[in-house]
Amino acid sequence: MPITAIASILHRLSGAFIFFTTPFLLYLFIASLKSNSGFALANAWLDSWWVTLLYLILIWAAVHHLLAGIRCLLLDLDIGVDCSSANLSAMLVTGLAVGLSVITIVWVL
Amino acid sequence: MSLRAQGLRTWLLQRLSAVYMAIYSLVAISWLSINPPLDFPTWQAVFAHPLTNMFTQLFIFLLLAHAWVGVRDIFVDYVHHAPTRFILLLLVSTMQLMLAIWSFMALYSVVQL
Repeated sequence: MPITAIASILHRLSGAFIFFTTPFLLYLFIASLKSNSGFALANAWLDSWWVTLLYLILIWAAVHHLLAGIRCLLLDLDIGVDCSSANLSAMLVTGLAVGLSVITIVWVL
Repeated sequence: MSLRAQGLRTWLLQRLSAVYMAIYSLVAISWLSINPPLDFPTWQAVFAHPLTNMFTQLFIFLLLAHAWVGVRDIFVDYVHHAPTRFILLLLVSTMQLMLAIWSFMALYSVVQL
């Protein structure tokens, strides 16, 4: 599969992942704002291993989706549409997303 | 382009919401990492301020709308059976609307005007 196709399908998959996790994240956010016990509850959820796993994947999904989104906006503006720049930016987006996620994950853990 | 430009409208909504969410996220992450609100009163106070409250409400609303457009695009590409697609889209629309109302009510209840 060409790198542009990989960056594109990951853009879609990361978006779908964020879509599926949104209700749960909103629930945590709203609970944390409501009361002291809700805040403690949200913190306890975030400390559990499977929510930790969820937000680690979410960090990558958000970073990839953001970078791929910026690439998409530039393509809309006719910037980087030729084959070699499109390949280069797709590679940059995919690689940078992994790199930045690793840095962020090391920083939050 | 369709006569009522519906595709163009959602296309534009997708892009504008993306720009807003990118700016909000970067500002929020920088702010929260410089001043981490580690206890409940500090955390609630951040969102009790009318400006943060409104910007956050707008963020959640645009996130739900942005996701709706994205999911619609996925359905258009992969779900070819029109009635199924219609029902799926109806379910997702209802869910996004309910999440929007719920978030609005919750955030509205903590704002200090």
